[in-house]
Amino acid sequence: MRKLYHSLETKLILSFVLLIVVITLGTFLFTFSQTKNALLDSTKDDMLQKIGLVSTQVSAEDIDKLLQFKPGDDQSPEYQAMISKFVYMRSLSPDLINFYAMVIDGNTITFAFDDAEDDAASIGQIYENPDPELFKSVSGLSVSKNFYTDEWGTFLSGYAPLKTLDNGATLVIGADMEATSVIERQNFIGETIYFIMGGAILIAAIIIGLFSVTIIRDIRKLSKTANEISKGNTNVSVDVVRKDEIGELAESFSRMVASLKIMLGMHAEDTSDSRK
Amino acid sequence: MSVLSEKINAVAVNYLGPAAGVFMERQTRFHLNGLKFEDVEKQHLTDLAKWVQVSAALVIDKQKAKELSDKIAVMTYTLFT
Repeated sequence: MRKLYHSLETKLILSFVLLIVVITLGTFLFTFSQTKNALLDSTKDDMLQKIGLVSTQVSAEDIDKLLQFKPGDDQSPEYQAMISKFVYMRSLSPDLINFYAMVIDGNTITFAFDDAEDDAASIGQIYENPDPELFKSVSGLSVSKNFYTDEWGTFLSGYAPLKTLDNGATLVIGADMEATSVIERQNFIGETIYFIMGGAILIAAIIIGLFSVTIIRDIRKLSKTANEISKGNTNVSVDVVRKDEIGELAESFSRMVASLKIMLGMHAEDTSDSRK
Repeated sequence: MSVLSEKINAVAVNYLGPAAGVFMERQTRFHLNGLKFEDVEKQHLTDLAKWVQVSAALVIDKQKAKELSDKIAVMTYTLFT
């Protein structure tokens, strides 16, 4: 009996499966990476548009108020009214979880306002570990290059300048989008691609398996017939009917067997005649 | 070998391989009153086809033997001879 790893069937199926897995894995990784980047880019574009739009909704009066807030004003009616205004704007865009205003003065960033419900930055608090893209917002709209992590969590943020102050500092408004919402969408796409690829591999494996099994079955029949003839048993027939190359091989083999039978029959008769 | 014998042989080789000539020779010798295969003529073809079907079925598939027999029989009605 032929060992399993020497079997043509094993080699054929393994080769096909390996080929499919390599192609599918390559396609999956490439598609997933491209889709992930495309989704991140479109989210960043979306964020830029939203923060740009929000910045236009902040009036000159609001800007003056933002600049006048002092540490300890967090509970003042003016501050709470400002929070209500931003909470309303947030409700129009559920992806955004937080608005805040900061004064960027050189490398120092100080919070002027934060509408976060929990753990909000206090007025005058120094932002210690900012997103590097935040500094670009002094000259125009900017958005995080990628997700960044600070003391409040991991976010994708958009920034827009509101006003350049007399001392050269800039009042900037920022909005955060929680990383999990984007990552969830990326994962959903990844899983969808994964299931489609998995299904394709399964279907291809079944087709290849069936295809290989029928080929090997017929090759085994030919092999068995050849084996019988080689042992002197000519009372065999080639029971393989196909319209492909294996079928052609079977027909050639069948002709060879027929010739052998005819010649062996004649030889037997000649031997019998010579003995008489 | 006559043109007709060659035509028959050419068809038979596809079913019986290189021993087709020997096979046909035996059919004509044994079943057509000792006739040599090279002397076979159109009037012998019906009988030859009948015996080919019987004898070829011993060495090839019955359906193939019938197919070969039919191809020989139909030569009776062809014009090339």
